[in-house]
Amino acid sequence: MMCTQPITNTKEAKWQKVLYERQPFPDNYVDRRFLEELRKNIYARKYQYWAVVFESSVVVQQLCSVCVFVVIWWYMDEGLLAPHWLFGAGLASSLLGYVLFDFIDRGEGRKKSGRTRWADLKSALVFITFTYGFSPVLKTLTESVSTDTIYAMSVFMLLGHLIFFDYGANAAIVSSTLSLNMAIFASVCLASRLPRSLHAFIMVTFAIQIFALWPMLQKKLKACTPRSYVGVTLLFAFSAFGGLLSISAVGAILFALLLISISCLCPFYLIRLQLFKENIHGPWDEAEIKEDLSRFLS
Amino acid sequence: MACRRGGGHGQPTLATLSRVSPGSLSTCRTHTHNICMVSDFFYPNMGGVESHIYQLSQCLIERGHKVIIVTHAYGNRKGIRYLTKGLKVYYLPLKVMYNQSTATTLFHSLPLLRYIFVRERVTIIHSHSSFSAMAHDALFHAKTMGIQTVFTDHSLFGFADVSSVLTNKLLTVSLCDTNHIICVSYTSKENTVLRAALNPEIVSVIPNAVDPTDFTPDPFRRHDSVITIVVVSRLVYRKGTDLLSGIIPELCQKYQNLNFIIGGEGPKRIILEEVRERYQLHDRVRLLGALEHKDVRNVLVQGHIFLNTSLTEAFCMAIVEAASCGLQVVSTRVGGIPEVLPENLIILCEPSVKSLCEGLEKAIFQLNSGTLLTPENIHNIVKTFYTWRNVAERTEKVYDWVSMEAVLPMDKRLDRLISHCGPVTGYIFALLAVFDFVFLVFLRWMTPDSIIDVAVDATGPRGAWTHQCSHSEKGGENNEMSKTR
Amino acid sequence: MEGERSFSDVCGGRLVLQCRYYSPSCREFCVSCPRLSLRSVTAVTCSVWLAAYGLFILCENSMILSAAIFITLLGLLGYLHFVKIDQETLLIIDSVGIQMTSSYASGKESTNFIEMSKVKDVVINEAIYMQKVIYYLCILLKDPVEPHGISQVVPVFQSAKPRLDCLIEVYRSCQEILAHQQAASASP
Repeated sequence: MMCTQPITNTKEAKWQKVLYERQPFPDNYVDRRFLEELRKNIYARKYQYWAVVFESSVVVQQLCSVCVFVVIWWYMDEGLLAPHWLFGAGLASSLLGYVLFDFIDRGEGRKKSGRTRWADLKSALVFITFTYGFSPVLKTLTESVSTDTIYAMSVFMLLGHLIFFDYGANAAIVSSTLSLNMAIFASVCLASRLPRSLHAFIMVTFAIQIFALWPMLQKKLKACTPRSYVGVTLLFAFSAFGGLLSISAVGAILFALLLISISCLCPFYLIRLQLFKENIHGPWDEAEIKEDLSRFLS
Repeated sequence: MACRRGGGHGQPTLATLSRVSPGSLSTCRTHTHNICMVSDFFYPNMGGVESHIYQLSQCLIERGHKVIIVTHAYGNRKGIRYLTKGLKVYYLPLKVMYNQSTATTLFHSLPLLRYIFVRERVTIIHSHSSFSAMAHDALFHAKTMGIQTVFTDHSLFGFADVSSVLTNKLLTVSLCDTNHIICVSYTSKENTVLRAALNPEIVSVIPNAVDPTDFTPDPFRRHDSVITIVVVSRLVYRKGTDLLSGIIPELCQKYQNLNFIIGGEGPKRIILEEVRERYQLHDRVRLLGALEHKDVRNVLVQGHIFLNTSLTEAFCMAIVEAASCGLQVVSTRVGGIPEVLPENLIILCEPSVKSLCEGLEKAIFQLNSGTLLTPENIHNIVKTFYTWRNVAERTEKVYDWVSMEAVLPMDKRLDRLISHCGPVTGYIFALLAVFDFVFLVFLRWMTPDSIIDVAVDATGPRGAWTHQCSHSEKGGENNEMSKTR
Repeated sequence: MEGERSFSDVCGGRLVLQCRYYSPSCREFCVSCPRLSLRSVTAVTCSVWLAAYGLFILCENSMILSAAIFITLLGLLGYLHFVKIDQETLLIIDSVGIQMTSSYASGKESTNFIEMSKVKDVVINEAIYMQKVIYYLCILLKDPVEPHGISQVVPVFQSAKPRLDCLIEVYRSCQEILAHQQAASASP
């Protein structure tokens, strides 16, 4: 017949969280111990406002890079900036940055990768020669494409550059190669609308400097000398703002508002939202393997 | 926490207690139910959910209920089939989308499901597995048609990532007006209550079971000169195959008379093969590949110790099967595993190589010193724990209870959806529920219930098969055969 | 037991089942649907013509109108000749065989005969048909190679699709004859 459950005194019998024993409770019994192993927000991080502001400077820097690049292009396009000047300034700042990088790094990275100065010089020379050689091609490559398309494409590419840039977050969308490629593509597009092939060559070189080399130096600065990094960021932001101001006052104000909201308002909002965080943990969570298991295979 | 009955907790609880208490059950037993199990997962697909549905249905048929199963077509297996004891299975021609789960538009399955529910005179819909789209569809339509609903959740889910946020929301929608929910362990109940924001009173815990006669020990099959550790699981990340790849070299270097038998297939098999190659363990680590369910016992009885490295588990059938075969079980302490076996039969470890190795060494030490229980003893203890008969009895109580409840009428259901599932989702699904209702009215107009032939019962109180068995008389329409075109 | 009885098909339409018992070993069952009504023909023709006129006003091409005439005429002819089955007959004669005849509305008849030695059994089966689950009567044919196997399933009353009560009626009579036949073949 039926398996009758032992009807003992319910007050005496204590409920146990086990399945193998027939307990004198109905199946839908809810004990006081229900959900006692529930934990909330055990991995939640406490954020410090100024630390978040400091971290947001990476985004500010990248926005400023794009802004400076566009401003420089506009100056070139209008004929207000001679290409030689830009080339000279770019070369000087590159050399300065190179020395600075080595100075901060104290040759550690060089030791690790085993790369010599001669190799650096060689790749720089190869790059400059090739760009110079191909600049007439760059100039005429997009001649048949309408200027509006070029502008639209450049805007998309620069936005993509900002989206995919490696800001240090560990997300699937981050891809520094894609980001760099998009920026270079934008620069090629814009360079093809400049008056002469020398302009195009210098524009692309400048793009490499500001989108590939400058972030590397920034990263080094941020890791080794945070104070000077803050100074550099402020200086860079002001110069970008100044440059934009000379073209359009409204644009400059909007840009400044954007920078302020990113560096001051967003961190504030992030910290406020932490109060509403409710991350639930309990025995049902998938366990994490914390050890490094690859040692067994190497 | 959402509260289904709002306010007063004390009274309903008492009422519940008296209603399901064993004494009053004999009165409930007088009427039987027409149960329809719905899930995307059924034989020929293999797995825990599939065998759960099959075994539960068989035991319910034994207890005099009418049971049918609705699933989707598997390859050439479509139409209507009969299994042992007249268990009728509908393999519906619905498109499979991902992982044997059907694609859902929420509506396209209504005509067929409604036709089946009407012709079989179904009174209770029992859906299985939260991964099955068809199960949720059936719940949705059953509520529209005013049929009582029960849902069994077989899996655990986290709360951390985006996909689980979405699936948990859908589960909330699906379960907010379901009459009763069954979970397989207390941990699973806590998880489901949190995921779907339910009142814990309407969630019952009924564990899975194993057939102890299928898993009997056979001490002569194992060689006592060596110690054999058996692992039977799919070789995937969630089953902790990575941990296994660390344990094997660690222990094999320490104990010279230790062998591993690993049954199962999966994407992580390659790392086990690499480990075997790297440490030259070809004669000591046997990889058997995919196992048929009937072969599992023959593999289990060859070992002394069973190792389970799962990272998450609602109710681990494998360790019960292994213990039933008389093996000492070493397992990770995750999910519902600590609830499954008493402390003297299982060694629980943290999910790390170090802890699992310590647990295995403890088991090896006990084995060498002879302090372990004999396989026969372990089997005799375990076989009383989980039986399908017991599961069926307890599930029957849920059905009795549910059949006395009222199904929410349409207006109350819409209120519930809107108030329970958040403003956006709630309104969207309330709208969908209205569409579903309009579609149902249209279908009722197209083919009224009166012109749908009532199916001949194979099981249940007036079942043709049960009569055939008891009186061995061959009635007119008993002769239908299970072949379909 | 001879006579006419009214049943319905799976869609709710009316069907008439005529049973003719010629002798204990020979029976005929005839399921007939109502004939094509003038009303439905008119309705379909009118809707096709309305659609054609609508298109004609849009494109101003008289080809559409002539096409509509042809479509209605050919469609009607085709429907009467190939689709619409007025009557399905099942003639079962002990020790000879089973003959199934379908008569189309145009008068065309198609006949299918199965020898009794090939028939294994007559059963009622269930199938999923469109968005319905229906019962149907079918003849199981013996597998010539393996005596217990089934080589083919031949559905009966395929276009009429009568409901279960009608099928049971036919099924019972068929079983009587089959039992008679089996007894006869077993006794000598």
